[in-house]
Amino acid sequence: MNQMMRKNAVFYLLGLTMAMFFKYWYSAATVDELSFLLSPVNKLTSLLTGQESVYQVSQGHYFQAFNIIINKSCSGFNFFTLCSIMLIFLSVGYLNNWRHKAIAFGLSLLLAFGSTILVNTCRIYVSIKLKGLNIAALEGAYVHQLIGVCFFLFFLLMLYFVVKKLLENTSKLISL
Amino acid sequence: MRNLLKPAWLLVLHCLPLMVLFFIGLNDYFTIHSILDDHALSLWHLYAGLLAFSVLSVAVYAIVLFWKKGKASVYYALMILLFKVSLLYLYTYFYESFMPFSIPEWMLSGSYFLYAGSFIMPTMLHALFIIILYFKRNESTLRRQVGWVSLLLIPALWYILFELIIPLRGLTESAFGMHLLIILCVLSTLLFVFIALSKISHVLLRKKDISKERLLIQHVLFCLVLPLFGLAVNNGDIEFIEKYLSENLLGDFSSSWFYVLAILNGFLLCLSIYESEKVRGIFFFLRSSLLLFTLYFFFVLIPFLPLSLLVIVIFGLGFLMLSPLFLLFFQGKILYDDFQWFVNKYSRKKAVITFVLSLVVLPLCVSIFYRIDKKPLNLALEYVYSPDYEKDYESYINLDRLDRILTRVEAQASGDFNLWGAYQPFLSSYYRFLNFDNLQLSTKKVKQLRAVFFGEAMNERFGGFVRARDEVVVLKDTKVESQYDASTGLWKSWIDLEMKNTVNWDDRTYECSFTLPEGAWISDYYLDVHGERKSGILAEKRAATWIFRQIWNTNKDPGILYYLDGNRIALKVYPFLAGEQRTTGFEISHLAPLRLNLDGQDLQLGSASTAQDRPGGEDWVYLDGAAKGEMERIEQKAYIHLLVDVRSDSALKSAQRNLNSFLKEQSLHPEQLKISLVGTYFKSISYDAFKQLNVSKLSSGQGFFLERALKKSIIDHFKSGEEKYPVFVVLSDEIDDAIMEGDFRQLSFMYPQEDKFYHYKSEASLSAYSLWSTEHQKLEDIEMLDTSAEVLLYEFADGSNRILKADSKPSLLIKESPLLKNGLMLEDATIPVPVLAQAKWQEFILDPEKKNRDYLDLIRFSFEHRLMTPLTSFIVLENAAQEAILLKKQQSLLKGEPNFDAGEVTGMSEPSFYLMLLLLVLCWLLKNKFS
Repeated sequence: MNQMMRKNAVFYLLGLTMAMFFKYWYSAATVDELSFLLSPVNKLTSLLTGQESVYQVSQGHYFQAFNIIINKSCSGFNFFTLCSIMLIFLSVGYLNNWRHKAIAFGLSLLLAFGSTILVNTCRIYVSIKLKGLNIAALEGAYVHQLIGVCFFLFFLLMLYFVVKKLLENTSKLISL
Repeated sequence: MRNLLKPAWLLVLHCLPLMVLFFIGLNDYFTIHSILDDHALSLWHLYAGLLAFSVLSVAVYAIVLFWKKGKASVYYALMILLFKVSLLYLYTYFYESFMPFSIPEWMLSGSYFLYAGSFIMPTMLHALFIIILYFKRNESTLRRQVGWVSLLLIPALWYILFELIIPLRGLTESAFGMHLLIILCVLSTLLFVFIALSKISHVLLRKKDISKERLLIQHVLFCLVLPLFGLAVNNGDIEFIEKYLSENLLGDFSSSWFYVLAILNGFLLCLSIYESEKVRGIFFFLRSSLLLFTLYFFFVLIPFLPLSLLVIVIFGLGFLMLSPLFLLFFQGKILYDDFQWFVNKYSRKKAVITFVLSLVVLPLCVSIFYRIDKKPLNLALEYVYSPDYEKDYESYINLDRLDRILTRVEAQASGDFNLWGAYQPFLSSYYRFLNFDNLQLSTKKVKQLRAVFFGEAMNERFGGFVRARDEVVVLKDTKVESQYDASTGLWKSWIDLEMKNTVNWDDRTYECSFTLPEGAWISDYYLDVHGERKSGILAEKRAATWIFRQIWNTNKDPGILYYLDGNRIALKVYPFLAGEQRTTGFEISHLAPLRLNLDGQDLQLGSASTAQDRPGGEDWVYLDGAAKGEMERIEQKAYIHLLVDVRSDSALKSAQRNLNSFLKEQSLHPEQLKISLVGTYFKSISYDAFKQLNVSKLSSGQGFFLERALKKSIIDHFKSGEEKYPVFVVLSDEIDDAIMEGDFRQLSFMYPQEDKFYHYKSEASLSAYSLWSTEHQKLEDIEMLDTSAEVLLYEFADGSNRILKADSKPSLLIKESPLLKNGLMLEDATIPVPVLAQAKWQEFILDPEKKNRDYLDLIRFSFEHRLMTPLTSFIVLENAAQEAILLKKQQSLLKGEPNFDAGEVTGMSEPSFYLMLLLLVLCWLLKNKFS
């Protein structure tokens, strides 16, 4: 473990610094700056629900049909940050070559971005569906938070095991 | 102790503190760089460069050591020590150029001077430790070179030097002499600390050779007596020292908890000599949990370490400054031994978990203890400033806790002198962070809370210097330019003002207040500063008024425009030099042509000749004087609403007596009355129940919060749409005690029938008071109450109606709920933007608790459409530094309020980052455990 830590310290530090920078940037980011995450989620949600949204400057995408707004707080940026750092930590551990590690670093970011769009869309879609059921017990803010936690944790763990399996297979192939 | 040579410590003790210092400096630099001169700028750049170089070079060195599995060398320590001494020296010597006195304190994030001490010192101490460890390899050398005698010799030599310097003043007057003295001071302090530390480490490591009795004496001295003595000296508990030193010099540690923890910690450390195996595990946990207590004092005192020698020389008490350092040494050693024992007995993993858990105990207790105060404070603030009129506050506001938190706030605001400038270093900031979201609670608010909940008089406590209105700067000329924009359905009128200082004195202010007619809003502002036209920044009102006050005190150039109460606007421009003439101006967006009275000048905005439809829609309508003149007048009947002061039994008895004479004089029947009991809280009661009441039914609180009673009654009347309107009569012996601080004028659209309330004290003493003005001044004595009023009735298309005042002033009627659509200000081409903002503001007036939830929405809306609302303000500032501060203040204010998102959106929010991180780490730990 210690040896691995030493071997990959630079990437781990880089990953952590990046996560810290992400958090710092996010604290001041506006809805418009987060459009790289919000726009695709909005498009997919529209596609899934068949309802169009109205973009309100600095507020987000408002779905009048469900009376919900997709704004900064539901951009999935926290998930993106966590997912990126998890994938970076996981992937560099399996690789020995510096160049491969650098590529894995970049690929982790891309994969995290794609996963964020998909997972966040699913989460919002499920939340809309639950809202549509009009069950009082499912209305509280904590219930929605709980749904969010379950969703994100489930997908993060699934992604972890899938990528781990892939990496194990790849490294076996390389060693053969 | 050799662990201190590991490269990880270089990152923790060197890179981390310096990075924090670097970022604090960077933050301040971005704020003030535009007002620094070239010399100061080059110093900032040099200093930043040196800090960055230091962090990077040590980080690289640490990484190399990681790689090579090496340990920090003594050469590194010597170099770092030399570098840091030079850095501190440069910093201290050039401090005045680096941070000129012209920069006001409020622009900076704190005392950078002390921060530098706090963050550079750990590095220097670490370097000293490395050197000590190097010397310890050859103990006899150390023993030969340093001794207890030298610890006394260094201060003694300085004492002699001071005595000699005074007759030989020449040394301090020349630059060379000063340099020499500073260098000598720094070096001897370092040497002194070095010797002190090496002696202590020597004592600690000799543990096995000496008897238990001697060990106990050492422990009692360093772990119990010195810390307690230090606390007592700081708190001024020792009389003969109190005469020479200021009380609470380093912070207020007078709470008995500090003594309790110091004694407990001391005992636990002393017991380490005798303890049995059975209890060692528990003692390890307890000692570790108190480690943060020692560390706290270590960090509080560390910036003053260089002064310790000086204080020894002057007062002979400087060694107390070293006591947290000694204590940390002892505690560290004992904990290390405990830890090793725990590892051998159980396992390393269990030892680490126990240690980490124990570290959490103290912060957790402190946080819980502090946090308990938050709820009553928030509830009390909500009750006074943005109440939910349907909520029961009485059962949830704990007055003891509220008293405790207010006392703490008052003590913090009183500005007792101490070096940290705070009540308790770090802890006060933490308390503020936990309970006020880092915001200040103004003295006025604290006083008002005290008045409402504890019945303390307000007037006495409104102290401080208040500038009287300056009347020497007068309005010379005005110019109006109006244009109608058919696309938005709004008139835009620019009003340019020329003001002149009519006297030969500098630093005068132009101030005026004017009332905007309904259906008019301010949408732009400018001020000419040094011949340049500067456009106003639209900012959050509290941030803008805060910065205006700060600038006013330092004589710079601001101009400000904001809502006072209701539709009253304040305009202030400062400063005017002797005879100076300045220009300012603002734009008004209005629905129809109107007349505006501005500082005695009557202005016509827009002309009636332009063809324009009557502004209005399904859910809102604008009625000008002519339209109101055409409406039919109706007569509305009133009922009497008695507001009875029941703060004490005597007040209640007096009110019961006076009620009979009041009914007789006004020829009223009890059925025509509504009676409410007013104290801190407010409740309605029937006439019979009131007559039978023999003790005050309002159990808690001693204030006479008339504002709450009046506002709630007006809002209830408006919402209920009752046929008759209330006439308010206050039954009290002490009307002056009534708390009426809020904005009443904004409620006037709900209660158009009256602009007064009445006070009945004793037989034949009925007086009228102004209801809408902020002063609520007494108007006249009257005999009989008027129980009917002439009003106008407007009927909307859907049949709902609204009562209007029968005058010729324009009125804007809004049905806020249908217009806002679930509280959102959704833009619609048929509704002018300001009407939406007005609807939202009206919603806040009707349901003040919604303001807590949605106030950011209105601020955002105001920024987007450049429209001034009662929550925002136009301000012009002189320079970029002030603008940066404004934005920073605004950001912290906006962050400070709860419920950032609109209620409907909460469900879509993603879970907290830290919660997810915690869960992920837990999953990872579980996976490792079971795999």
